[in-house]
Amino acid sequence: MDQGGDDRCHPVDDALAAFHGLPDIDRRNLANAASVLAARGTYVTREELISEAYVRMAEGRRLWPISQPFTAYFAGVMKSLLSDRMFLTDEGKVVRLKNKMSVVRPDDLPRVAANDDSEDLRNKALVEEIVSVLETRIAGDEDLELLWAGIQCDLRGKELQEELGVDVKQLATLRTRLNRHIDKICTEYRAKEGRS
Amino acid sequence: MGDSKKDAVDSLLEFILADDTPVGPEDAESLLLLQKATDDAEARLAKARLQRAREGVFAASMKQSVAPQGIENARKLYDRAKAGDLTAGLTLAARFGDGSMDGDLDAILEDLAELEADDDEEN
Repeated sequence: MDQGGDDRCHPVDDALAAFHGLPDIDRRNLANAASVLAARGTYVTREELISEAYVRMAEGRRLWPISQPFTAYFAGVMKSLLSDRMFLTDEGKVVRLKNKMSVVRPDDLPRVAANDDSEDLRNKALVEEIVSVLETRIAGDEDLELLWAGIQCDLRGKELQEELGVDVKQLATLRTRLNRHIDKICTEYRAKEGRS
Repeated sequence: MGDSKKDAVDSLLEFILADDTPVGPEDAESLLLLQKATDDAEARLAKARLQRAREGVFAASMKQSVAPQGIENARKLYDRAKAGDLTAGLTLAARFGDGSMDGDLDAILEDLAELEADDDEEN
């Protein structure tokens, strides 16, 4: 995490107040961030991520650093949950157990490693899952591939527009298209898992 | 750190959080999702608080229910009954002799002390 040397934190009550005072734009963005993290199709839904991150914030188990904007902090808590052994649902544990017991296919290796190895390795594996699912989904759509490349170069706003050769409105449309892809991935996985 | 794949998700999250497009009808589902998840979290937190409160009340009532002297009297009564003293006014089941109940002895003595205390109050 990029802490800029300041590791002081807000009191829990301030974090709760910040959450409840979020404008709708930020609330939507956080829900979309949860979708990205749930879009690797394993073990956990968007709702569960948001709910558990909220519980950890309210119980003071994850504090909000002074140096971070609130939404970045909250998204960070959700991201950290993905590699948290304690947070796996029973269903997720069963899936993992099955993975351990069955014959392992080569493309399952990152997931098996994710079960057994260090936090770093698990984190790396899950990030690879998210990225590969998303990249597969947008493959062939030149506009979105270009947008994805721009995001990876940390281009934002005006710079991103110039790089893609689009105006504000067209960028917003691209953004919406990307969000739709992510939402769709989540919905499909939920349907597969039999959740509603 | 220096891990480009890790940065990929971080960059994507940053991009998504920086979205300043005004909220429209298409965002209703996202907002509802966040609200539902928050309600669920609040319900779980309330349940945990209630559980802690219950445990606190239970622990408090356990502590004050029996005085140390009552436990001591109960132990004497128990020892007499175990030694076959029929005047103890206490009959022990056969399994008390075989050691299988020893782990529960403290709790049994507490119950016994409570009964004795109740008897004293009534007399």
